Amino acid sequence: MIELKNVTKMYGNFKALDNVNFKIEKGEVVGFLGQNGAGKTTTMKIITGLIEPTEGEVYVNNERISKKNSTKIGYMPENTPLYNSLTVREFINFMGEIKGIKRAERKKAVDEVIKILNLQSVEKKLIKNISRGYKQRVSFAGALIGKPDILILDEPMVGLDPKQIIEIRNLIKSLKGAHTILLSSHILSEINQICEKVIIIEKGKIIATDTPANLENQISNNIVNITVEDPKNNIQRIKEKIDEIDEIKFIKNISKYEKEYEIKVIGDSDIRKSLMTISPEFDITIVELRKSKSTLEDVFVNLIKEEEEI
Amino acid sequence: MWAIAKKDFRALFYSPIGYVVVAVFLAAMGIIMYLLSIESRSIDFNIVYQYSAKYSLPIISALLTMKSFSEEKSADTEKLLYTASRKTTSIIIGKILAVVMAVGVAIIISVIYCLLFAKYGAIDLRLIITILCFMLLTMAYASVGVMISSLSESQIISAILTTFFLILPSFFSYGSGVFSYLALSNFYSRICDGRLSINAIIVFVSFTITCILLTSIEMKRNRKFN
Repeated sequence: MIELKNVTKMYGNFKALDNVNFKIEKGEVVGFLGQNGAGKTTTMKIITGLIEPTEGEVYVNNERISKKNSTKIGYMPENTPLYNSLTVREFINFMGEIKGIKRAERKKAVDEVIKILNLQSVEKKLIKNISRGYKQRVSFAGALIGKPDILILDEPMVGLDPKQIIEIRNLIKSLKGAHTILLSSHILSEINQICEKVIIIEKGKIIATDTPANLENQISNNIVNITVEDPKNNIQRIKEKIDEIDEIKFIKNISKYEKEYEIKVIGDSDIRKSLMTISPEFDITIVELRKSKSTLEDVFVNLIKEEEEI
Repeated sequence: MWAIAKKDFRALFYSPIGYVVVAVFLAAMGIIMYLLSIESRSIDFNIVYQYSAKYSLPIISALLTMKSFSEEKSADTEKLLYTASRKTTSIIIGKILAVVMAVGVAIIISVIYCLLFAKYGAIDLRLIITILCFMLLTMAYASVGVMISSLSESQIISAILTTFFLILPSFFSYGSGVFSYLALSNFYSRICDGRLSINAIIVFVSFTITCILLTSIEMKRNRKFN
């Protein structure tokens, strides 16, 4: 469990975090979203005990964060800082040793982490000689060794190719329940797939905390995408028959006869049935019809925009 | 502590710096031996270590410690140490130990010089005390270097400041001013003269502890304000 109570961090006169409050329950996987410089990394550094807040308190498993309990936290920093002069195995062993894992248990712990992160093929290689994807995994292994209750992952997917992203995604999913995870990422679709809760931070303030589904439902984005064959160019005339239509916007030509449009609807009404009924009257053949849903990206952009307007 | 000492020791010899430093130390020692033997036609190894402590040890200590925290800061790996390690002081002591171990390698090789000369005459057994105290002096010098390294991201600045801080007092140490207390090589000279000076040992140890505490305060200050 992680809890931040009224956490403020000042850098000189600049307020990097402004009265931040949130709670992450045991076993939850939480996504931490925000623009560059919004305060994500500062918050993560405070949780790990790397820096101290100017005001406020941080609790880990109901205890105030200190050097003693900070070892319950596995931290994967942004940009994967690693020791290039060590091999992969030596690095993981080193991380285990400084976390205080006893020699007798360490070899087993290192083997386990190497297996979980699929690092067997590079375990004897010097870190400087392995690819970025492997470096990311080695950094993850450093955080994971010692089975910490809490994992703080700062941009774990940056710079990875799609295959590697899937691997890391599956890994984080497999750790659900056993660890409380807070991860930041700019890849919102990934956050949506992995996390059960999302915290959005902007200019040092928490502006939203909810499940991705609830956040998506917050935005009334009632849009219908339609692809039609409309030889007589009657599409705009549909508006005369369906009052709920606000705007019909041309998107693109799919082929010589097929065109795609976006229909903006007033209110929450579902106009798909009406469209199906009315379109034959105007010699319009519907090829594809779908209601578009707001994504986490829409929510994020919308919330940031609202915050900027304030 | 040992984990950090081993990791740093390995890093020193992973780059050429460790080898260069050992070579420089041995070369300087060879030159001192040559000059002394030409002058007096005999060798007192206590004096060889005394000169090494005064002139080459400050420079090699600066070269060996310049990476200690500066490199961790510039490579951002200090985050790994601070978040995973339980005690700040164990990180500092680990870094000092790595330097002492590296100088220890040079000392072990230098003992071969002594053994070679043993063919031509008996070796003064006080040399064992001289060598052990040389390691204590190295520890004190390393603690200064590590402390200065914690203040800067630049290795060059760390090296220059450490050399300056370690060498300068010995040039102004005549009399009883502040510099005479900061010139650790003067305390070491007393040991090399054949007097087992408890005072000197206390000075080396207390100097080391003071530097460790100051480094620890600096690291805590960093956590608070950065």
